[in-house]
Amino acid sequence: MSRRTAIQIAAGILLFNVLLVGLAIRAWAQAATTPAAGLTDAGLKTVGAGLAFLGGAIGTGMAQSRIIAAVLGAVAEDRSQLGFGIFLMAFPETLVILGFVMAFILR
Amino acid sequence: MSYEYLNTRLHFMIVKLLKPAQYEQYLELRDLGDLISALAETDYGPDLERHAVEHAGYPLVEAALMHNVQRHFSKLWSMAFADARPLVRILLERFEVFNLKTILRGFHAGTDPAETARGLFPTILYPTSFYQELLKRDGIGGVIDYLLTVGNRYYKPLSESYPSYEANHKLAVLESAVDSYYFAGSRRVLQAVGDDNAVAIRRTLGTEVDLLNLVYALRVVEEGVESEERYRYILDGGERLSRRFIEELIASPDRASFFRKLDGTEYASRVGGFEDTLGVGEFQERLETYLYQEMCRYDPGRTFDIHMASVYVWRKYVEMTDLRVIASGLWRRVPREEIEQKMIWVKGVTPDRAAAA
Repeated sequence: MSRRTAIQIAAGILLFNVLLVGLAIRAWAQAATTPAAGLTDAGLKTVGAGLAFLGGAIGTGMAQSRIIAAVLGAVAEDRSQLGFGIFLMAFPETLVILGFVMAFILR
Repeated sequence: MSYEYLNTRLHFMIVKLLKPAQYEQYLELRDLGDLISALAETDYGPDLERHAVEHAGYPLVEAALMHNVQRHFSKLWSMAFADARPLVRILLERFEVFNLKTILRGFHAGTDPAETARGLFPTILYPTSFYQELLKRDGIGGVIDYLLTVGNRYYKPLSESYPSYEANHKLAVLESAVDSYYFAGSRRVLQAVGDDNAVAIRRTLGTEVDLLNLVYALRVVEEGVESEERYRYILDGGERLSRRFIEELIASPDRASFFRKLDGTEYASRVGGFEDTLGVGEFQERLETYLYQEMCRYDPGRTFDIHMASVYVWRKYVEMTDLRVIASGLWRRVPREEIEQKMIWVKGVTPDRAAAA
């Protein structure tokens, strides 16, 4: 995977998360019974939750792009490395899970 | 693809290179048959098996070594992705230049082509048949004509310097032309690439240029060449030594003065200083030892750049050369000391020379 492709993937993840945050804000705005004059505590929490998830997802994307390339190289040379390689590939998922948990707590 | 992919594979390939203990074991063997049996247990096993039908003895080892290096360099070449390919090409082209110079040297000295062929290094950018055809020519003029016929780019520097060679019969004219062309062409490519990896390769080439210039300068001082022509064959693009400094070295009246000027440089401190009595041969040997140490040294902090490919190419070169020396020594039954003297010794790659002795 070239650097350009990695950047494209990272940009895709960023865009996806921005979209998620946008949808969350929109849903929150629609759910509000009384129109608020500016951001409320609940709104800020929602934005924070989106940002927490966003950070985790970007980190995971960046780490996985490099790890997957390395694991493919290792498996190409020695097939017995596949098991450990899958573990390494899955390892950065903890970042996005942490982001999700943080988002859940904030929400 | 990326350096993560390339370097992970290279890491596995480096692990498969021979260990210092294996060299020690091979040095203690009594004959070539034992070496072939020992090599059959290593990464050279499939190559020995492949050529065992048509060759035996030393030609078998030679064919297996050639095939093994070609196999691995082809693999490196095919793994090199778009960004790394021009850099890997520069690393591998060095051996094409080495072979071309070996052939020119062979014709210049009137060596038997079969003997010259034994000194060639396995390469992948130009096919083996290309060198076989070059060796069939009747002289250096024929070599240049053949390069033109097949459209090889080294035709240009050689045809330009050939009239000068014909006039004075100095091989340095042709060697310098080929080296200059390779280094200048590589610098242009590296400049176009322009990233940190290109800078790393430029430094590698620059160090080689410095060392070639130093050996040339001492040779000129020893031979007492006075004409202005002595400055003509200085290579451009040195990493630490400027052209002006090399000119100053060349202008030295004697060896003592040459080494005094060299004393303040980084090379003198890294090599451990030079005695005034040092001849060109030993001077060159010490600089080459330093070059091999530098090029084969793996920096674990540089996992995701071209460094690992460069280290692999140099280590493979050292391994191939040392195995050739050991196999040839065992074949001709020369004393172990003589084999050790001709080997390339690199700390961490081959055994410690003092311990091996």
